[in-house]
Amino acid sequence: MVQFHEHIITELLEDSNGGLVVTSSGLGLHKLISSLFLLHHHSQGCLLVLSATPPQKSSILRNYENDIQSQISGEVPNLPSEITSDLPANQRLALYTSGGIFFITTRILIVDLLTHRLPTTAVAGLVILNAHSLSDTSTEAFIVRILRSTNRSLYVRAFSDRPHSMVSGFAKAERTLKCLFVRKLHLWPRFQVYVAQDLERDPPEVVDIRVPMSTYMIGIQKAVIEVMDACLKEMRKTNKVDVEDLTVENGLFKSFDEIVKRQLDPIWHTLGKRTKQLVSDLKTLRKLLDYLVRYDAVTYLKYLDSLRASESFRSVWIFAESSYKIFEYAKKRVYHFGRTDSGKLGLSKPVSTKKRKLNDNKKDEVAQQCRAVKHDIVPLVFVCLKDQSTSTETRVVLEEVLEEPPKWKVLLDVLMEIQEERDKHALSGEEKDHLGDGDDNGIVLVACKDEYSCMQLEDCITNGSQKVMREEWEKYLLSKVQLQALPKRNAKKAKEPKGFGVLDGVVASAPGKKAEVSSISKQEHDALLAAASEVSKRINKDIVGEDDNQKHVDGGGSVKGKGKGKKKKGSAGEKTNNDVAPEDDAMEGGCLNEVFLRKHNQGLNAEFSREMKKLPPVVFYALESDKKILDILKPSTIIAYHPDIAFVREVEMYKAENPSRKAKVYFLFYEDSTEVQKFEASVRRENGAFESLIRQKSLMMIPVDQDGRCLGLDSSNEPQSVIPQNLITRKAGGRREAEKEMQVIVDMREFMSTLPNVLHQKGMRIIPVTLEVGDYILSPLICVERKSISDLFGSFASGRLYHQVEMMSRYYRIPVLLIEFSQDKSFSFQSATEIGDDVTPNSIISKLSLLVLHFPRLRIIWSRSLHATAEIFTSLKSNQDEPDEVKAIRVGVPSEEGVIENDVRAENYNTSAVEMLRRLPGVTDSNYRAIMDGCKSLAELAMLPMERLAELMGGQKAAKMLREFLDAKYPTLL
Amino acid sequence: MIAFFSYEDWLLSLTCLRYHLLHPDYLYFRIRELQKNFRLRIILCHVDVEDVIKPLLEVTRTSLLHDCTLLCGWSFWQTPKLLKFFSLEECGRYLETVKVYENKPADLIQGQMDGDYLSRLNHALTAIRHVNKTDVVTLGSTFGSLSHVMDASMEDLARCPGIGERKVKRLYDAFHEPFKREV
Repeated sequence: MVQFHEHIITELLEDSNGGLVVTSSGLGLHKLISSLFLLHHHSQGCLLVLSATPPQKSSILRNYENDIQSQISGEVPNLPSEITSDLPANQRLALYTSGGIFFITTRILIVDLLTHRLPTTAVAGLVILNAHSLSDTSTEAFIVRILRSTNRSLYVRAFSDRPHSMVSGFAKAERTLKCLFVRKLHLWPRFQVYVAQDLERDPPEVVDIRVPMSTYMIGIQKAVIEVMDACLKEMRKTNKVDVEDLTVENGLFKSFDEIVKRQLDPIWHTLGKRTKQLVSDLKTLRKLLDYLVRYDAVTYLKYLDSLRASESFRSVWIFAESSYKIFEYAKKRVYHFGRTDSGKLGLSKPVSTKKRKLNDNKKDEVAQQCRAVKHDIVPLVFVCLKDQSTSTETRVVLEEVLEEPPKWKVLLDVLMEIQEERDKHALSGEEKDHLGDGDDNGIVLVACKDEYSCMQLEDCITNGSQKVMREEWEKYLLSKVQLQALPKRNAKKAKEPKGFGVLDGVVASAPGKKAEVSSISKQEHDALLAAASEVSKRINKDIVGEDDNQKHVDGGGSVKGKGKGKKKKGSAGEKTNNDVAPEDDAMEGGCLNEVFLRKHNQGLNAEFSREMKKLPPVVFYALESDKKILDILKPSTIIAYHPDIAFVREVEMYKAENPSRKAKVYFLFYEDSTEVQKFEASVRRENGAFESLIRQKSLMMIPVDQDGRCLGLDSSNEPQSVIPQNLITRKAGGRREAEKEMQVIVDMREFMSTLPNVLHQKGMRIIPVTLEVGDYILSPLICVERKSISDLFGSFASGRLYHQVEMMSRYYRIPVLLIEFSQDKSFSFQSATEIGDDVTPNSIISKLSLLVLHFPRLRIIWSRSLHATAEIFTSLKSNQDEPDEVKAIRVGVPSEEGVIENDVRAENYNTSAVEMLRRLPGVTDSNYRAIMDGCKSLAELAMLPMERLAELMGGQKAAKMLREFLDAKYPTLL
Repeated sequence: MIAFFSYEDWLLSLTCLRYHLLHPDYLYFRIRELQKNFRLRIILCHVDVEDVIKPLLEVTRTSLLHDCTLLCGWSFWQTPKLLKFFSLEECGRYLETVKVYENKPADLIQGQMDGDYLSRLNHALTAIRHVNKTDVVTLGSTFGSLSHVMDASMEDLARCPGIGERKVKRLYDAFHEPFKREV
């Protein structure tokens, strides 16, 4: 355990009420919490852990297990377990009283608290993770309020490692403290003295490698930033947002969206389309910057292509001058087109083979040049393709550029360097002892952002980077083929020609080109397609080849073989373009060629892998997976491929905890890239957040009662039930009559939302039960179905709302639909432009009108916010009786005899028969009553002849439909 | 300020929050005067103030206590060429829609149903409580068609595997009990 963790814990334990701890990201919160677990003893009561994410849970658990093992103690403390809704209630109670440590979801905890299943005294304390996501309406706050009201000795320890989220919004830290009923805010930034001391005592050896970006990458980055800047300027013009926060630097972070959203949401409906588009454009641009340094050239181009296809024409940025550059450069990183005259093409075959050899030589050169970081573009293989479909005069030559991400080579370099160093050590024998004791397992950890880059990099160091690029390129071409669905000569399934799709549109829409743009782009397009079809042909033939000759030896080398054989194949195929007969020959030739080439390649591959054997063991780790891998793997060398601030802290922590172990860290940054900018900005941002928190802490006002306990947010509104019973007797024997306590019955499923919490704040008693009908029962007469806006649209579409309203109106005098808007969003359904010129069936207005027409008894409540809802509820309940819990549960659930109590219709109607009748085809709302008048029962209906049915249903068509359905032969099972 | 539109069996009254703030009692008095013989009574409220919570609460309460359905509309721009109330785009559209949809069946909001025979049969038979999809298959394959299922005797129903005593009774009752009970 690092020393500053001990400091944090001692400080936290000083106040018996607990406190809120905010640390810098990556400072090992999971370790802190597991050490807190060690201090827990089951005689104190149980310790409940709230709102932990699954990765957090698992890392806390693993750490705790380790801690226990290292501890020498007689009794084995029981491991923290999880309480889920699968456990039956009595089992949960047993667990609560056992005094263990439990991870629990807020929904179960609040229900158990409200039903008094969990005795509040059984809880020793709460540990709340991710405190930055708390608000005074969240369920966690509700739980703390209830527990605090009866259990005075309870402690609440809340943690957050996202300081920048703690400063968003007005006095957020203070509000969070109040809603948790704690007084102490503990701030532990990275620059805090103890933390800095611990982490800098023996810092890891750091090698900072700045990799220059290729010229095209720089070009793209510049263009994206230009567009971004333009968008921001445009946004400022709207005069709707506070300009101060709108900088390109902020634009690099996800939180930028939140800044904009917070400002714009309340007035969202008044915004024009253009502003809305700008907001989403900025998001897209941010992604583009991020992907530029993460993806390889081909994947990036693919992303751009799909972006162009999916992005609507409304997009502002796509038409900006600089955007054109983005697309152009991205394309140039992958391939480019040149023209040759027809004479040259006659020679194309021999020339290209020569070129190939040349290239092979070149490749060796390249391998040697690998150490040199500088060179940007590796021209790999030139493929000349005859443009089959169009003219014979001009040929378009597709040159594959396939620019590799510069970092790949550097990574390989670094790995080799590490190995060389080790070899040297091994030779000199100096470090033998060190290596021998198992302390240093020599693992190299490469940390990337996502799983995809992990896989790609792994592929890259085992198979060589060129091969990876080639595979990506082939995949890209293939996806083009699939999009285009070219007719192929030897295609097994005939595909229909669809005409020219994505790419054509893509190139043609690029603005600012010369007049001949279309013809060029057409040729480009055709050449691309031709290349693509070659690849797909190759693969098809490959399958055939594998079928009839078993010379296929090495699966690993096959793809490379494909790539290599491609040229030969292509020209062979073209020769036999028009006649089908010699095709078999050509194919065989192709196969032979291929086999030959494969062998050739195997040699190459073997060489390559021999070279690779020199590499140390490498493990790839995706930062997104959020596993605490450092403590498990104990790597000696760490390469931060995508530097991330939290990971840097984790490495520092790891080094501080294992001072004896050597740790060397390599950072791979793209020079002058937004990557660096973003990293530095994230450090600045965090420090800024802490500075603001420190300022807030000094100004904070937390109301405290005489025992020094925090009084919480609005103590005046404390629910009546909180006042201990003897208070009434103290007041002159209860002269003032205790106010009637309002009750609301709430469906269990509603505890996902925050309304029960707000109702409780208003002083109502919440009774959680499982309701068959409705969400809230306010009185014996009033039943409420709550819908948020998105819910409303969804349940109209699925028909669920209709059914729910139907059920409510069947069992309650006053069925109510509550439409709840959210506080920070605009109070309206739609913006003005969405109201069309005519009544359309899909508009929300139409659906709501229809609902109203069909359920004249339905009442609708329009609520501005949660608090407004609570107010309306109080006002509605004021002259009503309290609802009966037992009755409410029974509503809609049929008794043993199938008779439903209180069913208004059940007394007069055979409800299931009527329901079934209405579901039959041909039966509509307008004719079902007539049918019921005309025939007694369903059995009778089944016997009625067509003519009579037509009479009852008011039409031949409907009658025929029904009759046919009734008599339709049930399909046999076989 | 308040306009009334009454048709055969429904009535719609238009109000706005700004007016309500000036004359809080007006809505109440007008509603009280209304006759009870309308099947559906709608109050269409035009939301035209910034701070809606208090006035809207009052309007909600009034409409709820006097058996009126409340609809809210927001207006965005004025189109003076039309009638005055139609300048309230959304409110106007509500009025229009209610009139147009007066006799429209509720299919639109009942959710889409699959068209094939099996799912329709499922949909129909599961209207009876505790009948599940397996039972539908059993019934269908035993009796051959829906009309035969409806006409089956208690004994025949009881012979179906998986259909217990209570379910038999429930099915039989649904098919043979009259739609309308004699009171």
